[in-house]
Amino acid sequence: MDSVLVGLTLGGLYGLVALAFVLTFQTTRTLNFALGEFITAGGFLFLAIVALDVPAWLAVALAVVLIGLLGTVVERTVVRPFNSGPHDIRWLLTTAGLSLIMLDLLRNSQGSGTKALNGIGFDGFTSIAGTKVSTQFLLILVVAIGVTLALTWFTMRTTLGTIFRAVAEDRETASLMGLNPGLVALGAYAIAMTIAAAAGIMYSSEVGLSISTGQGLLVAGFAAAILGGLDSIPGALAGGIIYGVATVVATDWLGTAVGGVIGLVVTVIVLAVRPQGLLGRVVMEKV
Amino acid sequence: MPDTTITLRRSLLRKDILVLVIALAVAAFAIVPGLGGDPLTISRSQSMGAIAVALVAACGLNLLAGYAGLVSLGQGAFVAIGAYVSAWALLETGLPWPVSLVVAIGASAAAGAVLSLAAARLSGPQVAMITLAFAVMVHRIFVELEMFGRLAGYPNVSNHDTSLLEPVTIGGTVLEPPLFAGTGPLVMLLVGALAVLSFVAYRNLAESAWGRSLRALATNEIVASHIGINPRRRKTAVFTVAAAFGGMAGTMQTQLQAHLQPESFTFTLSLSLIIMVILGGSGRLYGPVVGVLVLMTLEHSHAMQGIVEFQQENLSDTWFLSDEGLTGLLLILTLVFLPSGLAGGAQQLWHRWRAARTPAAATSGDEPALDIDEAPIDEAPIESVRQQVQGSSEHHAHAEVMRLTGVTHSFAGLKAVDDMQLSVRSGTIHALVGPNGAGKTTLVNLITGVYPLQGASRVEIRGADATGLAPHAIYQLGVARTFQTPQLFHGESALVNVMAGLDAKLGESFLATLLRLPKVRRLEAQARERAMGLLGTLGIEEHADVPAGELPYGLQRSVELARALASDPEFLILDEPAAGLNPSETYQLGTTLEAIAATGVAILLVEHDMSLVIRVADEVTCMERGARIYHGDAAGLQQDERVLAAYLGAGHVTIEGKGNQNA
Repeated sequence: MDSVLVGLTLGGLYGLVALAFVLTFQTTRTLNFALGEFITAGGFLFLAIVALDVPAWLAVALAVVLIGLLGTVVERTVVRPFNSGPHDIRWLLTTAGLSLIMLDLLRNSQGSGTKALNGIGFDGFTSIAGTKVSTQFLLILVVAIGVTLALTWFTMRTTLGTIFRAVAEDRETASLMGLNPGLVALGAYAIAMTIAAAAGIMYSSEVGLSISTGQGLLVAGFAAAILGGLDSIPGALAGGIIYGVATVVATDWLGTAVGGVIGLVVTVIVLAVRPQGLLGRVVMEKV
Repeated sequence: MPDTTITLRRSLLRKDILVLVIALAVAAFAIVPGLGGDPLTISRSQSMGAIAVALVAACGLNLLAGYAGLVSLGQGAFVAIGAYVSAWALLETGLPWPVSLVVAIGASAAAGAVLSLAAARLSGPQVAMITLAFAVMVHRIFVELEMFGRLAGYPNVSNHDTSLLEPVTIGGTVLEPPLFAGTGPLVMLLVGALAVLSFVAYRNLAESAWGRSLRALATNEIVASHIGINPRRRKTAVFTVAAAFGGMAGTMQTQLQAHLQPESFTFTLSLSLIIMVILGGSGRLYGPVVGVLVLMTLEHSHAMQGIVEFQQENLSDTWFLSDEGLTGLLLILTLVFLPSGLAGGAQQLWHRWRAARTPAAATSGDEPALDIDEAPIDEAPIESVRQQVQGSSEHHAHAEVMRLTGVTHSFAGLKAVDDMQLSVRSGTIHALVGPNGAGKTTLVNLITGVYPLQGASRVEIRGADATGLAPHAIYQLGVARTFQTPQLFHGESALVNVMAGLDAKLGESFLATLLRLPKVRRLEAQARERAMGLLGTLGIEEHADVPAGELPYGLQRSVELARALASDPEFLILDEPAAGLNPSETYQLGTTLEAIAATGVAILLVEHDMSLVIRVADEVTCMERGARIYHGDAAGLQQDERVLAAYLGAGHVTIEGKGNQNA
């Protein structure tokens, strides 16, 4: 039971990262393989801004917004020119290349040590039904649930959200209706990278920040995203929670070797049975 | 056997031998200078070994990512499995080393097959992600598993009393790894031999019907299944093969280093393998060779260091790119400036140069395929179609080849086909007409198994129940089709496109292809011969070497027809073959169709061009809103009230003659 609760809170973190994947995939059918570095960069940007004597809360806001803006730049320069249709997956390689570049830049400029993020986040533990869970991770879970609800509401109930869905459904027709898929793509990347940076800052304020922080979350995040179906917002959180719970439970019962891979094994099995993921939709290829 | 086929076989054989000789020469050049064990050449031998390992892994990856279009970010995982399993088999099982090697490759291939269970149903980015997840998982396993020594490596002193594997021996000769100054690294001979073998096997697979089927899969799975390829099985096969190549590379690495560390097999290994494939030219035979050589030379040269120092001096001494970042930059630059890689770019330059040298042959141009004067009845092509298609003789006169009964199909409650029946007889042309949206193409898709049949729908082909068969099984029953818009493999020559139509009928086994048995060369020559013949029959043999995507529309239709004919079908389905053709091309098409039917082939012709239908159709069925509203001959069609109503609307003016229309 303890491990289920711990897994749940960890699942919130994975769910947030998965959301960042899902948002861009839904609208543009692309993923940012450099997402891990965006997570890490969010943390380092926060540190850099705090170093200028900016209050911590403002530094968080500035860091996530700037990383969001960086997301739009990446969409426009590294993703969009390399995405000409469903059979074109050059964007995958360019963003993977970007990941190498950003990681290398971070390593050379920030060093490979672990740094603490002070002044934000909660310390200590909260007791739930007799189990102590980290307050910070609980916060992350709450944020993840909040963001999932907000995004679901946004896409379902607002005009802008309807535009997002229209573009997600059929880019070409949407643009014939006078919608601008380019703007939607920029928006999706901005929101997604903002979420990634926020997740990175919240996570590293608890466990510390190093250049490999993001990479550690990347795999869990996108395994969670495919588990959920890659184009379902609630699916991202569901996938994250399944991944988190499976990992922690398996680690407690069967050791770190099994725990480290169980989430990925579950993902592979789910995909073998249900290629569209748990909450995804089937899209048929046409001749 | 015709003389040309024998000449073709000989030239194929000569090329195979030439490639083998060159590969051996290159391997010898790479290995021999280091064999003496001169301390100065140890690092050279190590580099050559690393290149050989990367080359074998990249070749396998090219089959998967380049040819089949399944971009895998997990090839490193299979290298790891091959390396660890072979080390384990050598150390713990006491098996003879060749057996250990086979066990390791088998383990790697098996892992690939298991992964393909999940990955073969996916496409594009999902494949990349699932393979990446797999690579991360495998790396974690080797980091965590006690039996592989975790971070201490394998083998290690605390568990095995040694940190180095015993070198393998052949007939008492010890094949030492390139680790110790003064000892001849004889294992380089083994590694070189394995690399040459692997490369030859890779080439045998890539340049074969099997390799062409991978390209077909990459272009369009549905089209691939219509030329007899079972997409899921073929994807599983290519995953397994790519993994086996990875495993082979791993066993070579074990031999070279005699000790394994999990950090050699991080995600970076997978990423750099895919970078090598892209940089060299993915889907090009020599792409991986070029990519591996260029990238590894760059990494080992002083050029990288020079660039790093330049940045530090001129830009910033903290914000600069070192090896890894520069590799990432190189990947992006390659995709921007050389999308088909170095090998692809070179090939294009070569084509352009050749085109400039021989201007006449290469211009496929926009000129019409046929002059009007030339169009009228030319009996020669008809005769040759007759000969070409006469593979399967012995038709009963006008026997029923295909029969549909009670076919009903709904898309999410919308009835697209409603209780249709249709039968097509050998040696006749049955036209299927109807207004747009009547369900004609849906019906064709139901016949060829694109959509599963619903309810009591039943399809019989040549007397056998074909209900519920997949397109590749329908193909084996002798059915071929063309598509509403031509679906060709654009990067491939017209000739290769046509050959793709009969590849699945050749019956080449995988093993025969891998070893390139003489039979394979014979079938290949025959297939080429036949494809060439079909192109000649349709009057387009001069375009045989032109990439299909560069041909004008009318010629693409002809190539697609040739591809359909290549499989020697009993039943040919043509979905609007005259769409987009000019009148003279349409006329020629009609003549060709009649000639094909005269050889006993049953043709289902979905067509809007009424002049063509009236001219060639023996039977006509008219559909409206999914249902059959007319069946009979072409003359009756023009008189039928319901057909006229369907096309012109109720209350139309009856067309009796020019005078009445104005009334």
